[in-house]
Amino acid sequence: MPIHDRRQRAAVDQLVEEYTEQGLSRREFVRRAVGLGLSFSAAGALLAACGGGGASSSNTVDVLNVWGGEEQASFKAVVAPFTSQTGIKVNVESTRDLDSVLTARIQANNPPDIAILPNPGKMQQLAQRGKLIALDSFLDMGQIQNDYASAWISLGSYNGKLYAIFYKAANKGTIWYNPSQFSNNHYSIPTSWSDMINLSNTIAKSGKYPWSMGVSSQAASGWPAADWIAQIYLNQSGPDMYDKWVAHQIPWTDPSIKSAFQMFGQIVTGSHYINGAPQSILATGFQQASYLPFDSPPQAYMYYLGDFTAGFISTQFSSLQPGTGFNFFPFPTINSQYAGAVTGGADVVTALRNTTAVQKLVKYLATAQAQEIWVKRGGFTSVNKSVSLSAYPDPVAQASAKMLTTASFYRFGADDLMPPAMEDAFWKAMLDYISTPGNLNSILNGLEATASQAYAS
Amino acid sequence: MATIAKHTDQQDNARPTFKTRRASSRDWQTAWLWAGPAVVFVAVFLVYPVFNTIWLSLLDSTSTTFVGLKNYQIIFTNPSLLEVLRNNLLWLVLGTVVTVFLGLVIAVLVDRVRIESLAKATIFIPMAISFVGAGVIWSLVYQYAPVGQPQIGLLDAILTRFGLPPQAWLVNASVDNFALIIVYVWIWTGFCMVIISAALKSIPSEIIEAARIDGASEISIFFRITIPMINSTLVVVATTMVINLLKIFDIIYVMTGGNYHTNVIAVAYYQQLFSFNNFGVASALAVVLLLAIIPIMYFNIRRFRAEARQ
Repeated sequence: MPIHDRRQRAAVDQLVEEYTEQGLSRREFVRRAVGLGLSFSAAGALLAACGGGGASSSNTVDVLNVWGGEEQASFKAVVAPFTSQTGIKVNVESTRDLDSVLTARIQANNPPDIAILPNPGKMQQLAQRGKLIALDSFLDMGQIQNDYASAWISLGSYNGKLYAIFYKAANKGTIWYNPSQFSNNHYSIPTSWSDMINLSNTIAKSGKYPWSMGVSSQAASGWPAADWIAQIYLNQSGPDMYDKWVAHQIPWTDPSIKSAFQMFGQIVTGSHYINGAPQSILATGFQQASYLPFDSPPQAYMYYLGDFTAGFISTQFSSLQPGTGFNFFPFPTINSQYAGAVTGGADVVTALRNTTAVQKLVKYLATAQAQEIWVKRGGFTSVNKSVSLSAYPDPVAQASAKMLTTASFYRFGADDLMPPAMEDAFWKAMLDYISTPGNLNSILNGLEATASQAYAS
Repeated sequence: MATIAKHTDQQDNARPTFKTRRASSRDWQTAWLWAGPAVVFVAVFLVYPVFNTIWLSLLDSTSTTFVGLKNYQIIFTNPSLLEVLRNNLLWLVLGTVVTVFLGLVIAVLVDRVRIESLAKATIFIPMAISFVGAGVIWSLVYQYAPVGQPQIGLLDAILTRFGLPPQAWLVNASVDNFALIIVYVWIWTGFCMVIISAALKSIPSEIIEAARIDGASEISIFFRITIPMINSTLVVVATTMVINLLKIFDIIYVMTGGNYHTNVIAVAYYQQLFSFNNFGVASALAVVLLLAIIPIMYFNIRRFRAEARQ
């Protein structure tokens, strides 16, 4: 099927999109395809390649996600009642390399029915390129507005339309500690940043290392440090400046951003704060580093990472009870105006094909009942207000969920909201900053240069 | 063809002689019948994508507007992408020289030892491991833990045993590239060694013996007789290494993800295409890689033709 003319090819692409997403009829499709210059048999072949939109997709849904092992088992448990109720089969495809699989399938006009993306930045990009189905066209928006705070609805929207449901949320305002160590040494939980620095100095003076930190994560190394910056920035400069930062309405060289980096630097370069800093920070994995406060004897006393850390700790130290063996305290206040501000993350459920089966599954996933199934299994925090807190299996999960739903200000992790090229540069900049904090100005200038390109495309 | 015909005539009358004649149109038809499918295959899966990629490299990140050479400008001015090109050059030079040199030295040394097959097998075994597997193995060897914690990484365990401070091999920008190149050398030296060893065995032993009788030392035999005689093999091995090294991906991706100034073209291409969805820069990187490989291909083809003519 030789289509050499680029405009003609764009018109055919447009036609295919209209067919697969907006339910053009087959006869109309063939008529328009022939009108564009395809032969009748070529149009028929193209129609077949588009999947027909007929019986084959009315009782199966293809879901693409990044989960494996325990998480995937939980997702399948969530979906099982849906299948038994409606008879619609859910085929789950899982890949850690979601980016490349999704890109390839979208290019090939064979997108999955539903994609559960690990960050909303990608969702915004796909929505901008018109690859996602607007969910408000079939969801009961009254129910959605009842179940989800408006902050979550607007986070999942692009250009005023809802494109994503927030699913598995993460609370990134948690600092983990060992309660028995704290009580043995008479340390008190710090509530402000200066309290936390004083506590760190106290621990350091007694010859111990107060902090654990690890940012290694292969190609994504640096993201735990980016989480630090985002949380500090939100606590220090507030949600409006945060939004401006993420949208590149203020440059990376702005003093508020520099100040956030410098506060982070207090922890990285604090004397006797972190064992083997800065090399150990760069070379230790984020999961590895979470074990240090709970080793016997403890190698550190505090560790900052999102609430999913509970899973790492309980898997490694199965004898520790959540709440008594390990617990978290909320990220300390920096600016009292913004006390109680929380950054977080979530997986987002997006739809790429508009069929009745997909609509039903999305509606189901958004309900409190569906989410409670996973909540009870553990390792899942829901942002649905109708999920009761008592469904959470242990006090740590409950406290985290409560922190999320009652946060005074909530924002997504800044790196996840940025265009992918910017996010990557941000992570790499964190690695540079940790190894040479003195280069802060040139690092920020470099980020600003990348931003001017990354936000333009 | 005429030379071959004369040769067989003289050698063995029982063998059929091949008469040379001009190819008829039937010959051309038969040739196309056999070669046609392969030609079509190559045209569709090789030639068309090359031209398509070159075209895409002149468009913007979503392949909608023509931007000319802007993507190439980005590659040659953006400091992190320039570093990518520099790293590939480092890999190229160091990787080729070290693997071929080591392969040669080991092949020569192992040639006269009784445990020859055992030694060759041992050095060749890493070839059986995938790049990713080797990356995982060596990540563990290079793993770093600060002083006072148990050392999991083999290298750092040895260092701390002797009281030296442990190093973060994959994070320290002054050594990490070399650490990665060592992994490549570990895998591919066996290949070079095996091929060079076969070439060494084809050197007639009379020549070496004559040289020894004439009083030549081992070193001068090595440089003046051995190396010139296996020259073509060395070139084959070196070009294979060069082609391998230009597209090196797995080791860097698995061990450092391209961080800490270790990024190479193939990893950068992967990131641009799949993570950033920037089809323009990704295609431009692919074209740069293609241009880098063309001289080696040309050199190879010239050599094949020269050998075919002999």
